[in-house]
Amino acid sequence: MPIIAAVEIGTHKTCALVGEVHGARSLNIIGMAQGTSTGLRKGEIASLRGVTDCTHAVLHGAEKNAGTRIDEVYLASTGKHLDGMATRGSITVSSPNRLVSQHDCQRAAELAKGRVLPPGRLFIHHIHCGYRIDGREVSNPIDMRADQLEVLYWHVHGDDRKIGDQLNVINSYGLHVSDMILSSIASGYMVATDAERASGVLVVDIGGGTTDYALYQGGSIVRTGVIPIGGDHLTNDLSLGLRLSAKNAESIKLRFGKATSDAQDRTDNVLLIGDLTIGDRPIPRLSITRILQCRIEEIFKILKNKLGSAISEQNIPAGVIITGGTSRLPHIAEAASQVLGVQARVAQNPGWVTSPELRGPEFSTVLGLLHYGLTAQDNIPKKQPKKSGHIFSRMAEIFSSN
Amino acid sequence: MSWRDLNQGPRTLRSPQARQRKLRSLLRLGLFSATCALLLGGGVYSFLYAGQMLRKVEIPKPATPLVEVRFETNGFLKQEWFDQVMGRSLPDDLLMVDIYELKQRLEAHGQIAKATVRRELPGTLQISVEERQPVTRLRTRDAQGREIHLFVARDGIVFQGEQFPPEVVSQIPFLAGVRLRKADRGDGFAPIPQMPAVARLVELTRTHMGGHFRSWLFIDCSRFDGDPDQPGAHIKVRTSHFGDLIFAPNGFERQLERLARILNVSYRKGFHQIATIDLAFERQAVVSLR
Repeated sequence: MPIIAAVEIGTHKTCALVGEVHGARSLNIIGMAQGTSTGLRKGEIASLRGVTDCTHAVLHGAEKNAGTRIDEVYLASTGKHLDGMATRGSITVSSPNRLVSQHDCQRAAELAKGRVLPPGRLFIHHIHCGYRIDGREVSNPIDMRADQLEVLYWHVHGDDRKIGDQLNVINSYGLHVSDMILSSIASGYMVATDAERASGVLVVDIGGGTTDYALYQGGSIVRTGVIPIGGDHLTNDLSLGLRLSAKNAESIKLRFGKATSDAQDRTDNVLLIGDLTIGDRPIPRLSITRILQCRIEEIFKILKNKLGSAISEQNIPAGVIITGGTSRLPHIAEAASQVLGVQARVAQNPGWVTSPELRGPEFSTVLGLLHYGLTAQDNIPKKQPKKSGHIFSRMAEIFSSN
Repeated sequence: MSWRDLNQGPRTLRSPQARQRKLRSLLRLGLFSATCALLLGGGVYSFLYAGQMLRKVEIPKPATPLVEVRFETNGFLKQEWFDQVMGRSLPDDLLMVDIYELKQRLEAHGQIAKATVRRELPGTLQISVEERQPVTRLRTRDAQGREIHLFVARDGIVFQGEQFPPEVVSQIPFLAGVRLRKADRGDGFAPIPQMPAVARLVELTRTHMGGHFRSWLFIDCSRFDGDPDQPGAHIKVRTSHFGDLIFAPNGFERQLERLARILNVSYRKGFHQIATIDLAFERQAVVSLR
């Protein structure tokens, strides 16, 4: 049976999952390994040696855990070097009866993808965002009558050297990268349902060094982006603001951190270490909360500035789904809701993920990578196939119902 | 340009895990190659060994090679017949020829009454056979319904004659009125009990009345079961010139004398209308005219 593997090299942790594909769309997770990342800053490789060592250790652990050999992986991509742009390809429908054909869609798609990037930039994704026929949005234009066909694409591109470094890390372990997927897209596959994506939803993945987002409308991704601020900045702010070591700041964040303050925070003090040993001291909870609140609000304000009017009740009725390790910060959804003005919730991985280890939102990206590996990405619409009576296994059912 | 255009070829191994993995891959490859080599080597060795073994079991040249098979007969069978029917199964070594088995096989053939097989060193196999002489012939059908011609020897043995010349066959009268029974052993027929008497009649006639004998068409034994003392038993002969002749199953000499006299008288008197000459009565003959 085919083996697929997914690797996420995050600022804080590197994680690898190994899955065994059964049938067409069924997957069993047979191996997992994770380790603390080194050599990364804001999602980008600062020390190739450090990243290589920790990634290879994780890959080795995953192979050992799965009891099989991996040949290729799906790799999550993030970093502030990633950027996006929207293009549209417009053609006149060629057939005499003005019925849109598959060939017309392909021509329009080729036109939209034909954009040339500046030197030093490489495309990572060409994300299909939908069709318009004579200015009207449709999901599948095939066999519809129209004069003009437009296809919309969102292109994700990045710095060639940084992408090359990421590939180098994997290739130097003797593996081939099957596909490179934006972290926010991978997370979106996991945490947002089909209905939410169809109605409009914003998936925000707040990791250690970056915040990745993907905006869905009409079932398609219309915007993606990376904000170079993440959980590390919260820790760093606490460290600077409260004059703490990074280790203590991280501990305080995890134990007492909150995204919003309340009246009780004004009077509460918390102990830095908690055992009244030398160096332990009380810290006002309000200070902690306000530092974190400011940074969290900043992240969402930047997000609001980037997306502008796209963030509204009308455009994203399903609201905002927050995932990633930092989404574990209490009241973060309230903070998001206050700043963005739409409803927000913290993501939950699907119910089929029975392993307690993988239930946390910090694993939504790597799980999404496996999902991506399982289902082929095909943005060109095809004629609707007849529904078959195949019975997929439980995993596949959950994937498809996601 | 897409990230897929970047080269993903082999890179310098940067970590101990990667080197370990590479080593494991090489070991696995080595093991696989060694297994393949072993299998290949084993196959080649087996082939060569089998070749050696084949050379070892080569049949040595016979010490007393069978150079010639000499076939003699008192009848019509020829050397080619023997070579085709039995000669192919003979071994190359004269001493390996089972002469007793060969004699039995020859004598199992109905046409051969007696066979003598002997070795004549250094390399000749001498075969002499005595053939049965056909006295009468039969026409019948085999199990598949096809018409077959059979010959009957003096001792009553029925056989499929081979290599008889047509002029010989045409002078042999047919035998009628007998029942062919399957032999207890083998595919052949049981001996016909009437034949000793019939053969005696035929031989005497052929010897003393050769010209007359050529007119005999068939010999009917429907009233003769082989017992000459049975009352009323007789042998009827149909001829092409004088109608039917009826013989008693014994005393053929006297009957033939009478027949000769009757025929002489009839030639002299010009009786050409004889239908039957019944010689079965002692000292008398009943001649009926048409």
